[in-house]
Amino acid sequence: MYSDKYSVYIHIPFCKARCGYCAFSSCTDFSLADRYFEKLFEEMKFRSDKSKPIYTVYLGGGTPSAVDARYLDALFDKLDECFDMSQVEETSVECNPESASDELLSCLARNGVDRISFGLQSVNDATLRAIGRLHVFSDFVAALDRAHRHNIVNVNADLMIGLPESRDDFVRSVSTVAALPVTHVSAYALELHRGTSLYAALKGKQPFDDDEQADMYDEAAELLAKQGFARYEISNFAREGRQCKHNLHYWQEGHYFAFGAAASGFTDGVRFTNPWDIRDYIAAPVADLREGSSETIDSREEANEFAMLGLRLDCGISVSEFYERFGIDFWQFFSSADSLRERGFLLCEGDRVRVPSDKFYVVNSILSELWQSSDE
Amino acid sequence: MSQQNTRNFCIIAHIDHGKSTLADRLMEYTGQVAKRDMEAQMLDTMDIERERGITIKLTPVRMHYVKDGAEYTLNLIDTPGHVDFNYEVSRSLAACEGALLVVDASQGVEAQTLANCYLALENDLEIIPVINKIDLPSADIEGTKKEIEDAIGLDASQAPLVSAKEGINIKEVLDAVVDLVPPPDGDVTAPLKALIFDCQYDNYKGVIIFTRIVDGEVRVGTQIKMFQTAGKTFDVTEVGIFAPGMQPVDSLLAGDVGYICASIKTVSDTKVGDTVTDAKRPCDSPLHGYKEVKPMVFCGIFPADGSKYNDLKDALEKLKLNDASLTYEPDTSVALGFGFRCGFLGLLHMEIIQERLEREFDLDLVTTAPSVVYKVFTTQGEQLFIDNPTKLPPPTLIEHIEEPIVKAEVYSPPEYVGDVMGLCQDKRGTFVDMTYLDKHRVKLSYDIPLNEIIYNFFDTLKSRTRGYASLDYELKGFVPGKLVRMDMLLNGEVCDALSVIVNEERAYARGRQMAEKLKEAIPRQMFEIPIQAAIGNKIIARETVKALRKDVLAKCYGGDITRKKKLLEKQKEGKKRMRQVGSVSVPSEAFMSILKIDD
Repeated sequence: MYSDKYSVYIHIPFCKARCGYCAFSSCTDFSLADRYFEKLFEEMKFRSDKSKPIYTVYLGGGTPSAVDARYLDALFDKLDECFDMSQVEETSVECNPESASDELLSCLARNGVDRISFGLQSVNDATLRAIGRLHVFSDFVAALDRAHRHNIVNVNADLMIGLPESRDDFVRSVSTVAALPVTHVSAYALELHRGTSLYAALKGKQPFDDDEQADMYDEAAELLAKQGFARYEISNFAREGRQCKHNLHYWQEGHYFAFGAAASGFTDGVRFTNPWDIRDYIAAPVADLREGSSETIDSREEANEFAMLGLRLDCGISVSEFYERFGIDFWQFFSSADSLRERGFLLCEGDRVRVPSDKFYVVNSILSELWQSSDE
Repeated sequence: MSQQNTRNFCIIAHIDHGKSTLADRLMEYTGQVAKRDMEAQMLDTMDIERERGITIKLTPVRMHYVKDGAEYTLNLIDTPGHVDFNYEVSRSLAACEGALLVVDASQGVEAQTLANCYLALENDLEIIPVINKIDLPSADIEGTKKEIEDAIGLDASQAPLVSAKEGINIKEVLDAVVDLVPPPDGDVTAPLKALIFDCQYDNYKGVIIFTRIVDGEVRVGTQIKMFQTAGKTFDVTEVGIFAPGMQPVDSLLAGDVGYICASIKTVSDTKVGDTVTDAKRPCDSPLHGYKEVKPMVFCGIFPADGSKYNDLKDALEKLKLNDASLTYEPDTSVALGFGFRCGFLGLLHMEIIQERLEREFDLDLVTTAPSVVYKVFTTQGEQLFIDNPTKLPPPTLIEHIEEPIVKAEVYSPPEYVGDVMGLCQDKRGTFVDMTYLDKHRVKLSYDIPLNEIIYNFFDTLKSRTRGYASLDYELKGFVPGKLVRMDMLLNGEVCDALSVIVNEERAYARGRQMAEKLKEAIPRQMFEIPIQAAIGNKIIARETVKALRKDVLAKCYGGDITRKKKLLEKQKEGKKRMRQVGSVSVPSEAFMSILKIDD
């Protein structure tokens, strides 16, 4: 069962430059890298646990590919030292096209990395410049080629819906990427966060409204389907057998360790987030990192989360698994679920309950109705 | 203090001509308020008055002033300027012998200058013109004097020229009050006869009566009774004056303005306009009091949170004491639950009451579209007064309907006459007369259905004349009209709180506007929502709120779970605050949005 498996997320907050839309925890001061990794290793050591075999590993950022390979080597050594890595099924690393050098890729390959997620965003060089990315499209093609030469063939490309470019530019990005030898595509809507340079440049106004974004999304989903990418989560499309196991683990309410600044985890029924700022993270005593952010998830809350995350998936949730985990029938726990089914917002197929694909846009409303009924 | 040395006066003016500022200066000059305690608009104690810079309630204050070695008591009653509050004005006038007529030197005589001035003349008050804002570069002192003489017929040659803002020539105003306002002429030895001009409720003292003593004397221990609630007597526990806060004194004598407390616990025992007298030695006849005011505009007021019905009821009861012109009765709506149907003197009055309810009593309200009273003649030969669209009988039972019509007078600079006429025609007005008051002012008279006036007339008038025109109106009577009830349907179900009575020819445009407004105000939901305007079974306008397509396309990563959860919790809470009309969630703002339609 998913709840028995443990994954690991590690946050590498360093970036060569900050992207225009980025509101993640990131840092361009590489002189902090020594102290950061020292602290990161200390934290891993502090939480070390050989009793739970690790299922997947994910290095996110920031830009994990931007740091010196020796840090990554040490990081993987540390993982082996602190956890049982004998049953790992997937190890993913986020990379930027311009920093995926041969040296870096050979480092990843020798440490067992078998999946790379590239932050491509668009194939349009003018758009990439406008949002502050350091790469051009040809960098991505070259990086993809290099990854293949290092035998890393499971590759994701991130695309963004609603960037300041034309709708045709976006469609071109989707069709171009779908024709390349990638196995996975993520398509997220642009979020404009206050305080980012893109927010200021666009004066807080999305280049496309909700309807236009939804139309673009529909078009992307259709194009991707034609090229053999099936949607398995609202924003994620994969070729047969290439779904991201790590992310599926999140969406099925799995447990995961998390290390590094701003990293969020879910272990032993507690959700927590480490200090956002890299300097705060370095400065805090390792035992105090989760102070103030820890939230114990009781079984009712966990059931709500299970529905929230699971209904994002095309396969939906398993009613029998729901019963096994929470000891209550899904239809009884969410008393409004039956009415939602009658009105066509939930679809029931054997053991599984899911949101029909034409109702994906209103998943939040469906959830808020479900949650309201579980409150009563 | 002898009656000979008492002066009771009020200040009247058009809105924004500087009445409250002048009152502030008079108090400051007479040392009633230390400069360090001085706040702008001292007498406007309600937050809402300070914010809007207008006076709503009359407020009394007593000042001391020495002239030529003699000491005088000056009782000032500040009054509201807007047409809707004429009722308050007439109440304060009845308590005075004189009035300062404040005229803005840069604006000249305006509609309310005249209207209030006529009220003062009806009450036989001595009127002293005061020309204010002489410090403004645009001040035209000579022109203003001439206007006062031409339009009102008052001698303005001796009018004090002041700047209340800058504190210029304030002494002249006080001197004029002493010299020109006659002292009160009541008989101190006669039986007590006192006018109730306002009331307030205090949790400890009970009802506090604001009064002008006409004859006789009242002191602690006097047993009093009211004419309209004969039979009940009360023992006076406290009398006092306004200085400007309440300050107890031994007694109030003929000519005085002050307050009386007598442990009156039942709000309905006192009525503004009633006469107070001594229970043991009553006067023969009551004062003539005030005209009973008839509300002109009605709307439903509901608590946004249905469980607050009793709080709303308490609040209305207490406000009513303080504002006798407010009327209300219980009402229910399918969409909004339990509430009240309230009557108001006009639109501003309605807005002010709503705001006072929300602020002074901390209530969240939902209000329905304002309506007037219609006379409905049924086929059975009955005559009904209907002020609530949902109470209108079915069309088959209606013989005909009559609607109230007002005599509207618009004062405007000549260059806007075309715009004003256009507006009056749009609003189904019938032209009556046009007079050039002078080179700069035209008076246009129209008969206009009140229904059209309450529906946005004033705001449109102001915007079309860049704020220059002013409006005065009075009820003229009822005329037959082609009136129908228009319902709004949300997802096929009638929402009773949105029904309105409209002129049939207007229904199409109004229906379209309302549907458009609702489309903006109702958030997109899980399904498509048709919004329809209908007369009977006939759909006359339609809009659609498309189904939601939002907010799920953003990235959902591990660390995001807590944030996503908060977002959903918020959405859930938001939904709880909405009204359910059938399957549609309608935010309170949607009911209000149809009140603000621009032409």
